[in-house]
Amino acid sequence: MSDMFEAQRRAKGSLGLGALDIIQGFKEFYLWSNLAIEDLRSSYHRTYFGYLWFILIYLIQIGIFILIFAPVRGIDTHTTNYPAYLSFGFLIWMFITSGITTGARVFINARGWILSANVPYSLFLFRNCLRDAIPLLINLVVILTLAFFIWDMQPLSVLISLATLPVFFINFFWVGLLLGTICVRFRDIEQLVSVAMRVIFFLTPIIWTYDPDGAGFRNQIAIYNPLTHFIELFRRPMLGEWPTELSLLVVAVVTVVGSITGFLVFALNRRRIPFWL
Amino acid sequence: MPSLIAEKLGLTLPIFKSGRSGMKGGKPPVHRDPRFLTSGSGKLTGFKVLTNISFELRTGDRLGIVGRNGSGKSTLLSVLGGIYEPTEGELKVDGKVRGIFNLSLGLNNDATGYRNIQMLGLVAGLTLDEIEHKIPEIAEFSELDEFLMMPVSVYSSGMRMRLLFATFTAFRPEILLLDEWLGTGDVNFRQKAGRKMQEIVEDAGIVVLASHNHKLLQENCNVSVWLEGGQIAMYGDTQEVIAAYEDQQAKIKNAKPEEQQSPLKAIEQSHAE
Repeated sequence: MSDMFEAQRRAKGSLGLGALDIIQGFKEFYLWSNLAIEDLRSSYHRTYFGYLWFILIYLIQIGIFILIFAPVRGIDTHTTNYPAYLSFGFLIWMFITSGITTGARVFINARGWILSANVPYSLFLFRNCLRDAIPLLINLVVILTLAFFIWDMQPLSVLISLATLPVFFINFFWVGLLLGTICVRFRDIEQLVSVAMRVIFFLTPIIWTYDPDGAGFRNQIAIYNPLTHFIELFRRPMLGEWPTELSLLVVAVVTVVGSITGFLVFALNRRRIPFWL
Repeated sequence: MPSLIAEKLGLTLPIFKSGRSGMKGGKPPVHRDPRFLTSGSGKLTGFKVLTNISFELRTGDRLGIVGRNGSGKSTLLSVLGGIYEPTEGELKVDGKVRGIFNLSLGLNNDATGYRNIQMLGLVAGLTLDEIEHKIPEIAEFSELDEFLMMPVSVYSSGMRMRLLFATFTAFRPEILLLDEWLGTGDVNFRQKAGRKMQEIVEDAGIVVLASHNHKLLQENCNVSVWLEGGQIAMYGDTQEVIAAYEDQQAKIKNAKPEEQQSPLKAIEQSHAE
């Protein structure tokens, strides 16, 4: 049974209900996986290439980036394998940026469901996460297949990189809890988020390279940008290097602090969400 | 055994100002409706939609809700369906609840009727296999047949209503909440719907039906509440409640203009009592 009456009776206070919402939402695996598939289906509805589109979009974008930016001065193509650097960085960036922008809209988009059935709200985040994880994983298979032919890949470090993916899922989830709840109440934030993400793309070393130990304006921007460290966590092992200690630390702190904040903001405001919708 | 018990339910919706009020001249009218709550500085802070709602429904009960526009009928249904948590009092629900509150919610317009049935079934906690078994029944009852393969965006409101009603009743909820929408069906379908509701009640269920169609309520409900300004004006046998409600409506209609009481005045009085 998918409704929340039982949870509402058992829960002690807002925090308890928030926790039960997430547990019960997760248990609705069958529902949210079907919703995610439905989303993918309807976004490629009536297209000829169908699901091939998310592979095409990815390959076309990195192809163009490589063509245009590889010869640009200031991008280090001597010591780093620029096409690999860009392909893996951009792949995880697409997941991160989608997590943030769709996370901001998660409850707004689920309005029809939230106002017509007493369902756990967290299931819409699980749905979003799966919906974005499927293209990520498919593109990952495609690019890794290519990579093992073209570049000199080290299987062990690729495995390490894949093992970091759950970190991204956890962060995807709390960002949705936090931004999703805030944006239901303050709709301007949602607009701000989508604009900000477009700007942040250029402030994050994805199409450009940086030196973690270097000085200078551009290196500083990269180092102070927390998203750099998330991307490095995934990208560096792919390129055969360990992430720096700083990256590990930043990711760990952001994940823990973010998860707590996201949960608190969601749990304390959960009962108000339908009023705000 | 399903039961639905409301104990002194109250619901206050928050009001917050976002941007301009859209009213020319700036100043909103003086709010006479006592359900509006204001802060010390006179700023609107909330609207008390429901006050002190109590009733007890047990297996086999069919509750009708009558009342003027804006008296809180739909909101009460949403509270019973768990959409809004009551801000006061307690709601005790035992049983699987399904509600059709609004024809525009809960349907994905781009997807086919068939796919929408699957989604609604999944939300109701069924597996795709179980839903598949229900499809012939739904297709037959809703009279949609081939239309189930078309996107819901091409449906008329009557078709949407039939799809929702057929789907929700096919999933055999123990407690079924229905808002004023049966009106979009033709006479034939209303009769069919009445029989279907009867089946649900016989399956040891509870039905709550909010409607302006008194005949529909008289035929289908054994108890009724009459809501006035978010409060229960009367609760009891459907025939008596409807008779009293119609009586009051007739009085308002027949009253001379100078003695005609505004609806707001009536609410004010009922709060004062």
